Amino acid sequence: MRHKKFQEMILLSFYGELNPGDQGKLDRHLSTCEHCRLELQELTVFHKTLASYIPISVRERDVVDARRSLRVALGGSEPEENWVQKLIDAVTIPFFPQYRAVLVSAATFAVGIGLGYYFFGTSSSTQSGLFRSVAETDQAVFDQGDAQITNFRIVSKNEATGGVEFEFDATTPVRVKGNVKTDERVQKILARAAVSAENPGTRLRVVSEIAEHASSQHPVTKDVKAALISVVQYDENRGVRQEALKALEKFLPDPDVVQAYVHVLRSERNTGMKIQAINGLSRARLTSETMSEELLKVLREKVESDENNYVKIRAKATLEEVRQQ
Amino acid sequence: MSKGKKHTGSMVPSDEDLILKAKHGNMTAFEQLVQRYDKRVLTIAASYVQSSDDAKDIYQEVFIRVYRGLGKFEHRSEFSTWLYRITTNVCLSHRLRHKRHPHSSFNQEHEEDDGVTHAKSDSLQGEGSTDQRAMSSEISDHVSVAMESLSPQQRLVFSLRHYEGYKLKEIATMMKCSEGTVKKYLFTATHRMRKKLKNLLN
Repeated sequence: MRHKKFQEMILLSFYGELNPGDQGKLDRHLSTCEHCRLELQELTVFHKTLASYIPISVRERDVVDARRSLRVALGGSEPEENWVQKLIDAVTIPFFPQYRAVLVSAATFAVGIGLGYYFFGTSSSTQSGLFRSVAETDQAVFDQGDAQITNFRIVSKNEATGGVEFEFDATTPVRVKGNVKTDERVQKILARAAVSAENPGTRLRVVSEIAEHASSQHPVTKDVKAALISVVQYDENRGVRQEALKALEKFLPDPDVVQAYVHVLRSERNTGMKIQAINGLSRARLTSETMSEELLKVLREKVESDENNYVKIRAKATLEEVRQQ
Repeated sequence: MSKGKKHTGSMVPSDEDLILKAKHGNMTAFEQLVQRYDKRVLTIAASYVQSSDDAKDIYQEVFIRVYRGLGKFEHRSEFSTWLYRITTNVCLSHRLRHKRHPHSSFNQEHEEDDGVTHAKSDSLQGEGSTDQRAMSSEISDHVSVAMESLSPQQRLVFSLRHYEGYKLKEIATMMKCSEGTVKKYLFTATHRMRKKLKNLLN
């Protein structure tokens, strides 16, 4: 009986649900009871086994699907205590049951006019949330500058032309079709998604999409450049940072991009990223004029003191290449 | 509820603002409210039923109940508390008449996704060797079977505590029962799970 109580306490302790007093009691008991120590060991193995795999993984697409189904389902549903119904009931039932049909028709007509105004009027605050047009999205959502993009998904794309169709949720679900090479609006949305999408896989896809089509023939907007720089410097996922750095390479020797490379070489802890940055600089064939003083300085620092030998060698070689040009 | 979002910034409407607008029929406000909490609702549902179709059914039923009941919501508790209570109720009352698409779990769909781009995100979320993935998959199967052996209440408590990280007190609020009852469900669930997974653990 006593062991059972302590065994329950062990479980609560695992979940951090034991108060300090009971935790003390448990610790004292464990120091003397072999049986409960064994229980602790077994429970540790059990929790490690469960922790080695998390069986639940809800994809963004599932959330989008669920939202769509909900929207369809709500199409035929009215909230309880609806004021329109209340009004109709209040007016017709108690006082004029014999005129109910006429009054309901009149009320319906009035409600119809109201709904017409509601759905087709100019006020944006009362719009239906179903798939806004691109123009509305651009103006109403993205120009505010604080929209969070979630559930971003590329629906289709044309590698050759740069045509891309994607959907995402901002305030409401949106689907957009445009050209990533030529459409500034599309680039702007992608830039926002690269920075604010929650899922690292989504951010990676967006950055890859930008990287694929960015080139000197198709210059990107400053929003895209700023977003890529921001991703390189602050994204928590290494894969996303690497992809953004790859995309930025096409914009060298843009001074802002050079500065981003300085940041990577100075602050990035991942050796692969640092090597990618140095190789990118090497491929861009920068001269001492296009390379900033700060970049030259940081490359010299790498030659002197980087913990990775390959980084040292590549930094030295790059400085040599710059000198020779 | 500690997991609920509080939106106090001037630019972001609070739950109260959105509820008020939604009560007056503003669908955009209702959708914003849904999008604030729906991932968690779907995750709770998924952890309970382990099938994407069933989880989506639960999701839909939850928000339809919320939509219909919003007029009666009187702010006596946080919106999130009310919402998660509805979620747990719907989960518990959800009857798996027969297992629909027994293989359409969220994870398997992940593997069967439709293109290279998805595969990239998969590799980000689950790096590791083929052997490791196979091992994980095997553990997953065993865990799923063990979860299936629990009663609806035990499964829900175990999922919410173990996988969703809710405190026992929060779970008790959601399920409208005492903390002691929740503890009992957790103890029994853990005991049964260990028994079912005995071979794996050894």
